[in-house]
Amino acid sequence: MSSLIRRQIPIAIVAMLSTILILEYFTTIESIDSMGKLSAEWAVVIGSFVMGLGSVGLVRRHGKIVMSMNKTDSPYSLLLLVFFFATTIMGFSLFGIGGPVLNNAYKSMYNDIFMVMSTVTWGLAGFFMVSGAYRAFVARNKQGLVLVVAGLFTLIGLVPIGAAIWPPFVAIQEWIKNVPGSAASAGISLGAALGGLSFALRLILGIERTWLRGSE
Amino acid sequence: MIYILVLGIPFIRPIGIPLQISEGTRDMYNALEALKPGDVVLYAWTIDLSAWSELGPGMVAIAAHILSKPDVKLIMVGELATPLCYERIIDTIRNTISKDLFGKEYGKDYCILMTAGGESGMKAFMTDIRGAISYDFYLNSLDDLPVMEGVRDGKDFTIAFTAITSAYQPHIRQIVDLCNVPLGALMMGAVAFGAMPYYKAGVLFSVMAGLGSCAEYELLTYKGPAITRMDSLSLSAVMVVILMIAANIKFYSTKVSVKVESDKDG
Repeated sequence: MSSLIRRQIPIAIVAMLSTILILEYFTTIESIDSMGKLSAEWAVVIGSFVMGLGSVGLVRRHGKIVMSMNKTDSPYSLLLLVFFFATTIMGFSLFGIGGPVLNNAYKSMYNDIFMVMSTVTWGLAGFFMVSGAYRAFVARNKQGLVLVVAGLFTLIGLVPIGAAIWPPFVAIQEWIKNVPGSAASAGISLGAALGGLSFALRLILGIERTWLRGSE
Repeated sequence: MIYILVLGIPFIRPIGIPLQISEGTRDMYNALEALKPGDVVLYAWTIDLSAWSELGPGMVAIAAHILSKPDVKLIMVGELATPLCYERIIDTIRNTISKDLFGKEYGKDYCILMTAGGESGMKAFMTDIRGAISYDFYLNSLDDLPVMEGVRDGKDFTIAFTAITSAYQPHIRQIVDLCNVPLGALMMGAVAFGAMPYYKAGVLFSVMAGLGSCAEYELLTYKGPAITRMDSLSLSAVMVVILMIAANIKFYSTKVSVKVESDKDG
């Protein structure tokens, strides 16, 4: 009974819904179309509930860390929980609760804290990229040499100073982007798509069960 | 320290290196310039504020270009924190480009909607908008918004635009493939290379790559912060090139000196 509820029924639901959605894409049968639309609408509702579930899981996990009074992790978990609840309470201003004061505080939290921290995180990556370029772009062999030359022309051709120094930099960069780069991207996309297709087939047929909690 | 100086000096003393307009930026501009009264534009599931410093200026310039067109509707849809990004775009346009937003009003000429569920949410929205959501971001009923009149599903959109940092395939599947709506994309520089096959095949009518494309679009429409950042970008690229050449010179000089020493010992 436990195996029926935890494995067989979820696999059957996935198989049935997947079949309906595949048929919806390839056929114009009205009943299949309406079932496909309905399942898409259910997905929106489930997606919304997943956010709530994620929030509960987040609070539980970090609440446990805070209660454990761990010197290393507890302060960060406490900070996360404080900002989580503050943002949630301030977010009620979007429903008209709390008036303009709460609304301005919410926007300020987002624009002046979250945006700034996100920008700084992206900016820090620049230092790592520069040091990574110094260490990685070395022509140790023929393939490395091709990488270095292509990287040099692409980098200098993408920025305005490239055209100012020597205009053909731009044409060379465009050729690298449009011919070998595009061909390689197409190959990678095709490979990824075929991999995704095989994974989806395994999911539909119930062969792939890693998404089932507690399964083998 | 040198990197910070290289990035910072152009802000104090701009160099003014001229910009060339790339093909992708030109295609996006031409497509939006060709919008006619009555057209409906979908501003679709873009980033939230995480990559604002790179893509934000372009998003503002493109949104301003769309809003400047008379009687063109703009429907902005997003998930999670993306609607707040759209609010910031509108505020930025008000503060820097047009105080009265080109005479456009919320609900009448543009609106902000919110979905959930990732690609499933996109599919539900593009298949049947009112089936997926009933209210906008401010909890106004969709039927009360004049801008949503006659917009029932994805096929009612004339053109779509998105700005993304990684996965663009869901947009292609649910906007282009499902509803045959032309889609143009502004992407991070590294991601744009991977999207070139779609651009060359005509699946995407435009691919704009990173801050450089944002600056080019600002040059074509409304001047903004991306243009001032291009000198800094140019110098940082030159610095990376110099470092790459230096690394290779160091590698080969070390290799040669090791070979010379081993020949001496041998």
